[in-house]
Amino acid sequence: MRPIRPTNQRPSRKNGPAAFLLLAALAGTAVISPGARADSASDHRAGMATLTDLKAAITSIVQANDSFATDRNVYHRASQRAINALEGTHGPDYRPAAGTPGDALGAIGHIDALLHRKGTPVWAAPLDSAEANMRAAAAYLLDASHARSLIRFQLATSRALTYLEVARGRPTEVGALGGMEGTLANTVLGVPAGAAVENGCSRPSSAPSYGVHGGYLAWIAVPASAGTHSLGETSGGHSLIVEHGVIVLPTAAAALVAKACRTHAAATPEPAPRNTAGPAAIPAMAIPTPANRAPPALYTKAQAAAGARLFAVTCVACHGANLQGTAAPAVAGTDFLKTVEKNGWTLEALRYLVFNNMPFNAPRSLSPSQYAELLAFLLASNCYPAGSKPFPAADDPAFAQLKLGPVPGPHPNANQFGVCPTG
Amino acid sequence: MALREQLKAGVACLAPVALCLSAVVWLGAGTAFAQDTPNASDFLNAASDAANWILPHKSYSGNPYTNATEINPSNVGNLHLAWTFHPADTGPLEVSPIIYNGTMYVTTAHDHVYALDAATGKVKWSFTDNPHVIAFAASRGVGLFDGNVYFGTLDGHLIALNAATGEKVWDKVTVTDTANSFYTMAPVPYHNPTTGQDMLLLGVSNGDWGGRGNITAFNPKDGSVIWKWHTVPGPGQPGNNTWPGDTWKRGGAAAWTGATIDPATQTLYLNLGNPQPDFLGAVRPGANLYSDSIVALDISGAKPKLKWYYQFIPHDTHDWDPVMQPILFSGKVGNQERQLVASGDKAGNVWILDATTGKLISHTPASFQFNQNTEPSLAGNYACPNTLGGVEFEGGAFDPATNTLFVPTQNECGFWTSTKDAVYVAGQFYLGGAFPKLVGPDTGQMNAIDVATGIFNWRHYFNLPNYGGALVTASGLVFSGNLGGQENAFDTRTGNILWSYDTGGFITAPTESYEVNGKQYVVVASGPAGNASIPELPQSTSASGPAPVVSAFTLGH
Ligand code: HEC
Repeated sequence: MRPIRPTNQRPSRKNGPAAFLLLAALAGTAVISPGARADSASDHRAGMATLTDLKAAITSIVQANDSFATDRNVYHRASQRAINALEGTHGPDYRPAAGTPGDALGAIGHIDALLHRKGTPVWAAPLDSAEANMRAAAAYLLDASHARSLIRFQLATSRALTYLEVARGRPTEVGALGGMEGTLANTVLGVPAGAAVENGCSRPSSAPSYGVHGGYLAWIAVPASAGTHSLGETSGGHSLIVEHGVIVLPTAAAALVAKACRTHAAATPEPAPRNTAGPAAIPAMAIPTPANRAPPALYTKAQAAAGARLFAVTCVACHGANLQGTAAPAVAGTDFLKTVEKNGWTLEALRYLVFNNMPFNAPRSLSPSQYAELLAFLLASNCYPAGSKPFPAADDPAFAQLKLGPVPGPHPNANQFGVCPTG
Repeated sequence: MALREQLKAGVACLAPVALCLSAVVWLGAGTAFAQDTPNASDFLNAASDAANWILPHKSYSGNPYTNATEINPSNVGNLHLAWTFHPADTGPLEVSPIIYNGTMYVTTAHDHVYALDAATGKVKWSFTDNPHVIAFAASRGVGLFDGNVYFGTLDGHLIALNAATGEKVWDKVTVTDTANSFYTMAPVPYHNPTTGQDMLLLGVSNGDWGGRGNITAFNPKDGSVIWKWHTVPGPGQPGNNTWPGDTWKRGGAAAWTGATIDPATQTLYLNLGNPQPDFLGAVRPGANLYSDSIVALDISGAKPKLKWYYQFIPHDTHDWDPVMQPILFSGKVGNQERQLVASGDKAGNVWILDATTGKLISHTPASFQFNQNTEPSLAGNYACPNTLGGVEFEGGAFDPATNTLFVPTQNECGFWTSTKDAVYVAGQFYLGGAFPKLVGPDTGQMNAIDVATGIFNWRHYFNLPNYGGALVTASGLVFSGNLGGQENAFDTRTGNILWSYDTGGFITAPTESYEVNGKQYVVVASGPAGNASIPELPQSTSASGPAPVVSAFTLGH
């Protein structure tokens, strides 16, 4: 087992130069890989602190809502306190005057610290999701913090709460929908400091103990003797198994672990069981996670070549033959990717702009398949790889989840503007 | 670049503030600046100074009119090229060159600044910035004051260069949100005689990207804010009730064209841009003040006070903002001499108002108008002019000799579509639709409007749009550049074209006049058409269009 050491390798989400494609299935792709095992007490403490801050933010809003106060400052302050609990004292929207029900790092600060490491523990994906949901909530809370009427406060906070509840999640769920509770209940992040850890593929040889495999927590074992025995703070179990004088509490990840153990293939990726229990509205709120970091192939070479020919006729007057812009902005390379990263553009944002607003003096004047060719050309020029599937002429909802950015890796053929050739 | 990074990080001033300031002043004064840049009284007398051209539209009154008479109707036919200058940049030139004591300051699309010898076009110094472009690449010129050249950039910086050397003096990010705000306007220097305060007036371009407009007075010493006036009233201010809910926050009404000032009353006349989202009126029912309006601000005190406003187009849904810089002049209406202010909008209207009260005197539709009261729909519909039609930012000029307003206009039509909702995406257009698709022929005209009646004295028709503004000379000529690239001189009385020259580029910049050693020059910039591209333009050998060029003309040798 390889210990996980924090390094400076993993760029922080906010300023990271390598925020390339953030793509994932909605329920989160759970992968059991060998070697990823963290039993560090500080990780556990950080995970618990995240949940505490998150709950404090929720409580702050719920209490204000229940107060029937007539003073709008009560609502404004509650929203600001919730932001403070989420963002911590270093957050962009932190305002000390309101005080904080959380700690100095805040829920997002704890997650950032947890994710700042080499390697990708199994809990990284759901934590990434939880963070994204908290940031979304913070944006609504900011509106709530200067809402001019109660109805506006309630509208903004009810949106914020939906995100926060997804971030909090539930212990019976593994992956993005599990949120903080699910992660603490079903991964090594939930194993308390100093606890005995055993192989999750076997049954316990002692109790109390925690059965761990591939980063997931499969069960918690409690002695069946008389007395009070402490448990992990949260537990995803549905049932209790009493055997050989021990009570075993299988977690929600138990089935996943069992499958991985059976195939002896800790290295083979296994998707998590898809969630069907959640209310229909919730999956849409879950913000996807960077589980798959390889840039996807989104277009064909032939399409990009056709796009290049179209560009030279319809777009070149404003965007330049070198794509660096003459009367309009750059559309590929380092300068363009600066805009993309700064504004957090998804493929959908780029697609929308090109399909609906370009060419600037004749929007929507090309056919959908021509626009698809132009998108292929733009992706190719920005060093995204070609594949066998063409860029679709029709909209694809998955594009809203695809964050664009510099494609990692060396691009020996890129020119001085960072534009890749399409030929 | 290093200084810019430092300033961004807010650590440029490590020494106490007082020390820092004096360092800046000392840098600016490196070479005796009295002769490099105009002072407050030069600005007050700019209109009658035929040698220099120190404000974008000649003087505070915003009227591109020169006293010079060397070039006149009988000799203009001999006008020939004195020199050309090819800047090392791409993109259209929309600049009003600033000319002072034989030096001409020109800016290009990507914020290069060139100091040229105004007699030869030779480069004295140059400064290249190449900022990150978020939308339109254009720079309309510099402000010259206090030993410095001031200009705003496409990434929201205000920069001061030493006018004699081109060295950077200071550089500051002065927009609030660089995702949707930038500068294309030239900073306008002003000295408030009441408070003794010097300032640079600069409006921000943010009216199609989800910003809220403002005009700001900056301290020329260091770029600090003296005052800021928001063009869309916030909660509690009069006019806020013309915006439902929070729509005022992204209401636009950018102040991006030019600042006209009456120094006698310290009144600032500003035209404000279109409301946002541009093409989706349904989300912002109401008049949407002060979008598409002219405002008169009292700037004598510590903060501007609104004296009056006149809204040309309440609740605009076609991006038809009044982009022509207001012209302040004394003209005859009926038999009465009155203080007037003229303006024009992209819907093709020319407006004349009483400068003191803001009451409408006359309104002349000057380009083809069609279906103007139908809002763009999901399925789309036609209206004229197109967003780049009507009266454009290069504006017009008033001739006191003939009591005539000269305004170039364009006939372009568009097919407009809206969307169901307007979603703000940082760094993108915030339109609630799309800019109109060009339809039909794109043509233009030069209009001579009799101020006494609001009726045309003459009109000259072109088979291409006529963006090039107007320059009137006391000798009876009006110059204007056609998008096709022809620089033309008309007889102010008859409208006959007396001289024409093909600059080799498409003209989207105004024309100016100046003198060196007593000799009169006429200057105009041209280049690629960029965002003003239309299908009718002659094909250029280069895909991106003709190279940018500045052309100066003179008589004899
Ligand atoms: C007449 C000028 C013009 C033409 C022709 C034109 N564009 Fe644009 N383009 C613009 C302008 C202006 C913007 C800035 C829009 C904004 O800020 O949202 C822009 C923005 C873009 C962007 C976003 C870049 C950024 O950093 O904001 C892309 C991508 C783009 N255009 C692609 C195209 C394609 C593809 C074509 C050809 C089909 C095209 N454009 C034709 C003027 C033009």
